[in-house]
Amino acid sequence: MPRFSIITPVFNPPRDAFEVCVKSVLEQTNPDWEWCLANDASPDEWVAPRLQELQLTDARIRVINRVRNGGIVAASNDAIALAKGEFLVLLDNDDELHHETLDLVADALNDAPDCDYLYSDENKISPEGSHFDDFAKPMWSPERLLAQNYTSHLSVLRRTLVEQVGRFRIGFDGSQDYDLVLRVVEKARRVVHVPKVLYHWRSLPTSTASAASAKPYAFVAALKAVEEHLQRTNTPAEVSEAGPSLARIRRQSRDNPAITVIVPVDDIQQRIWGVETLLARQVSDSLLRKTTYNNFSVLFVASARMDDQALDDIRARFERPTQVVRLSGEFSYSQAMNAGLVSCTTPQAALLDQFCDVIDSNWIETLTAYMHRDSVAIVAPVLVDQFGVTLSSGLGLTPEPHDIGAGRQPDDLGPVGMFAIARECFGVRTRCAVVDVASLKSVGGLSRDYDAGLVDFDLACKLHEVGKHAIITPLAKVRLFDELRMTDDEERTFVSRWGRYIGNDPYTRFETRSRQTAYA
Amino acid sequence: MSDDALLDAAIRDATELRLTTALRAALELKAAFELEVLNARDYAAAQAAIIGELRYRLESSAQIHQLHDKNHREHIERLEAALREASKAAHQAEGLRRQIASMRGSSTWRLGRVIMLPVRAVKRLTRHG
Repeated sequence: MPRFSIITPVFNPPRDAFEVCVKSVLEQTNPDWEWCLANDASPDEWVAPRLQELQLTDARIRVINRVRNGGIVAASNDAIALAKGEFLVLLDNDDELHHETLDLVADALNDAPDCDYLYSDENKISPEGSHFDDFAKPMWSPERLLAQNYTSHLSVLRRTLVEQVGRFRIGFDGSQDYDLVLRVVEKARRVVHVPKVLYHWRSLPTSTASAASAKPYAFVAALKAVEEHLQRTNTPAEVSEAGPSLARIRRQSRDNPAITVIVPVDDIQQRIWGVETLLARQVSDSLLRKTTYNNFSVLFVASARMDDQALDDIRARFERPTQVVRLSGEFSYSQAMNAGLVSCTTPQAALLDQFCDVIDSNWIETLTAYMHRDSVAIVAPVLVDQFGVTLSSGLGLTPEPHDIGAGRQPDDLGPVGMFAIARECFGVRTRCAVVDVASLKSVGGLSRDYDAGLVDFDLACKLHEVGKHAIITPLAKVRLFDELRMTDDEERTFVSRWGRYIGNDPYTRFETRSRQTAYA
Repeated sequence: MSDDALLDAAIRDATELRLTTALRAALELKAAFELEVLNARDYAAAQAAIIGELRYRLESSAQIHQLHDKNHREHIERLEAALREASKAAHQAEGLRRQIASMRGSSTWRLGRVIMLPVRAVKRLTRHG
């Protein structure tokens, strides 16, 4: 039994492209494969004889000729019926594999014997044969997969699991592989990402590699696949279009959990919209007037300088439980948040810095809805400045610590549409976030050793080390009347602890800042 | 209400106040301890991170040194191979030199020189003339 069964439905491919595809399979450095091709009654006269010839030249090549054209789903399923390998490798009839693809996949599978689904990076090939558009994919990101078929090519699936879920399904033409992957990952024990370009996707005018609009029916099928996946996993959510080939998943909170909103307040006045304003009052107004969630209490962590009267005035305006924790000594952001965490009595808390101004009134509902998986420790909205320009759409560490999307306009979809969708990322800002209190407590909360922005990166690293994830969602936006800066001192501290992650962010493996706002 | 009842009520109020105050103080103390625990956890995490970082740097450095070592060894091997080739070539050259010397010492060579003497003389005259 070979380890890999390459599955290729064939229907009138461009001959040159098909020959390159054949060459890429025959030149694999790993010989442990079989190639199952299903000719979907291709009208081009050269196809059937060429497949016959291939079958005669190499015993590992097996061909089934369909009598009638049945479409890509039927042809792919016929090819799968021929397969005997442990894993199915999906290959389109005009694309190419890197010559070491199967070797590298085999290495990854040897390292993860319980892997049921594997995907790799990919790029595109122009009609002239040049490679472009390398897609350096993130590590396994189930939230992102709902919004975008980012795993796509190369996909390697355990055959027994594919058989168990019923192979490809009719009615999902154009997104049949996405539908299959969604069904497989529901049952997969482990998903592995190989961060190397192992698949070259030919960009023909009619293929989705050239433009998502080339196959609009495929996107409709993709949305349907996501909706059905959400139904199967009993996830209440609305699915709509967020952009080209991008789905917006608006999750609904299942049980309306009790939330403690932790608000650190200090006696700081700042000019906001031209008016000198006490920040504590500003954030309280924002919370009071712009929050629709109905099951939360407020925990103010007040500095020693904060006036009792001002605090009482603020508390009096809330018609819900409020609590005050006094912080002795010098006020520090991290210690204020930590004091809030230890005094918090609910399993989940919303952190809300006094510099924040809520924009989307359903921010708590939106953020808590992502806390459905145990591995999710923190969920944050996109932070924007007073002009609506993005300040942070998550934290990235490649090539160096930075706020993803900083300086970008709000309607900018970003590289591969990443700013338009909810997704896993290495970390998020804690200025506004819903957190799993136990997870944060288990890693010691926010570190005292940072005096500015790197405290959030430190937290991200600590959570990553214990297998916890962060999610950023553009479905909630919060305005921040403050800068996100880093100091040299804290940079030294960060490098001495987490230097190994700098340049090695497994989620954002490319530069995402605008040039204007790049940190020095 | 009798005086005793009033006294009881006052004692109850005072007790409640005292207990409430004590409870608040205990909760504050608990929160302070929990904050200390949190900070201790962060300290432990930081120390583990520093050790992890040092280990990573050591391993990276070891890998770089191993690579350098490998490259140096390969370079030395290449140099030694070149040296072997050079000494082999020198040995061959020495053999050829000996062959030439023995050829020049042979009677055939000397006879040939004598026979070719007029020809060489004409050539020399032509060249100088």
